[in-house]
Amino acid sequence: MRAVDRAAMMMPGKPVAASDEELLQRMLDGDGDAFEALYDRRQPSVYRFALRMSGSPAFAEDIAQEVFLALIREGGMFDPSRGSVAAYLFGMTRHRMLRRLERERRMSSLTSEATENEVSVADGLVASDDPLEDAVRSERVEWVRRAVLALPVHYREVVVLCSLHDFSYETAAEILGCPVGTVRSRLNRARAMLADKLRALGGDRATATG
Amino acid sequence: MDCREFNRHVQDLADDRLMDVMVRRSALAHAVACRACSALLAGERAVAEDLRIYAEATETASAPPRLKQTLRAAFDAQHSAASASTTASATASAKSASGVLDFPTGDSVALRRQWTRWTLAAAAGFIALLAVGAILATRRDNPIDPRSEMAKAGAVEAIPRPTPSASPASPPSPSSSPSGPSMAPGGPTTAPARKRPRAQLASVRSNASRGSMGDAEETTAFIPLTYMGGGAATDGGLIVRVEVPRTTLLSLGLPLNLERHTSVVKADLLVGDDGIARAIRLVE
Repeated sequence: MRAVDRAAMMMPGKPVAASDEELLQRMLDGDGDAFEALYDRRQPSVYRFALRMSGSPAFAEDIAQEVFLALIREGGMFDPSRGSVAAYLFGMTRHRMLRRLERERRMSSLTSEATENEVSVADGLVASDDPLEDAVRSERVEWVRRAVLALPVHYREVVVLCSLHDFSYETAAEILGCPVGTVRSRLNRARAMLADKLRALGGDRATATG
Repeated sequence: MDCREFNRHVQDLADDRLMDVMVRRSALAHAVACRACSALLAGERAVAEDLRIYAEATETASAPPRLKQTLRAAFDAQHSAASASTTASATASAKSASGVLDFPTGDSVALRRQWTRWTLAAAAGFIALLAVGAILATRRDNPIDPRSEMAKAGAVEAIPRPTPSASPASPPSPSSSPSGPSMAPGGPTTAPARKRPRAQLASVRSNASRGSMGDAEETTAFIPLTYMGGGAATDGGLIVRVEVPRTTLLSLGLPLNLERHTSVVKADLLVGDDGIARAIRLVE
């Protein structure tokens, strides 16, 4: 079963975990522990969103910092009637990312090789017993990373949200601020472009293996 | 199901997303029967598999622990400042029984800060408007006298207003262009507005009132700096001796001696009654 946004799990005899909205309210009232709990819960997905969009851990860290600083300063502007805290955070992340990506696009290409200061995400792969399999897998991951980064931003973000973060079309539409139909059509087009790029990078991958 | 409809669902099939059971069965049955759609589904599944592997490779990625410490410090600093301001405002409102605005204690720190920013911006704008109004009122009551301003600058001489019988004390340079005013020592003469002429050196002895300036000087004809209509621009004025960089010659259309381009050159500015420079002549 594909995973989507996970809610707090309830178990008999155990205290119920506070919802994001409750943690946010307590945070706004000055509860530092509530802030840390919300950070621990949501920071990884925010960071991964920025990482998968940019391919740069440094960029992702900067964006994550900006987003949570903004949450500390402007968290009172969150309106629960407009969506969830997770979608709110993703929306803030997306807004800041697009701004910085546009600025950096004018200075360098995002499809270039990783710089000395960047670590390829493939390097973080857990090693298996088979070094050859590791190498093949690592190369495959790097192909996909480059192919995703080569997509235009508006196609890239639907691939990242729907195919990498496992968000539903409705959740992605909420984050992107567009209709569900637009998300589906962009994803359709993005996947076709991705297939072309992967073929160009690694040979004909049209035939599924296994 | 036909190929067109299959196309709409192939992505969900490849990603194994939640689908209507009947639609799923129909799509899979179509893929078995249609070779093209079968290949399409295979291609989509390959892409989905690649993306799944990439997602797994980045699943554990997270920001370094130092970021949490930094943000917690920022959070504590933010709320310490907020507590201090809330305490101060609560004390002030407790001291005054009436006529004091109560700060909304239930509002977030962000809203309070936003209100403060708007207030400061409005106050700054109001002060700026007052300053501009005061300056305009002062200028209207006390128009700037170019003569007094120029007198402060140093070497200034007043040019007498021309009379119909006024004639130049020395003939103008034969090579001087008829465009623009040719400023003979006797005073300015009326000239129609023309484009800027190229200056030509002329040996003209300086005005006797400038005898205190020293040795005889050579000057060019006056080069107009503004488009002057009729005679209004030459009704009196002042001549001010200045020093300008030689590169100024370029802007006047004069050739620049590259060997001496870093030095300054003496010039006379003809300043009208309104304080605007009308013309310039070079002095050597």
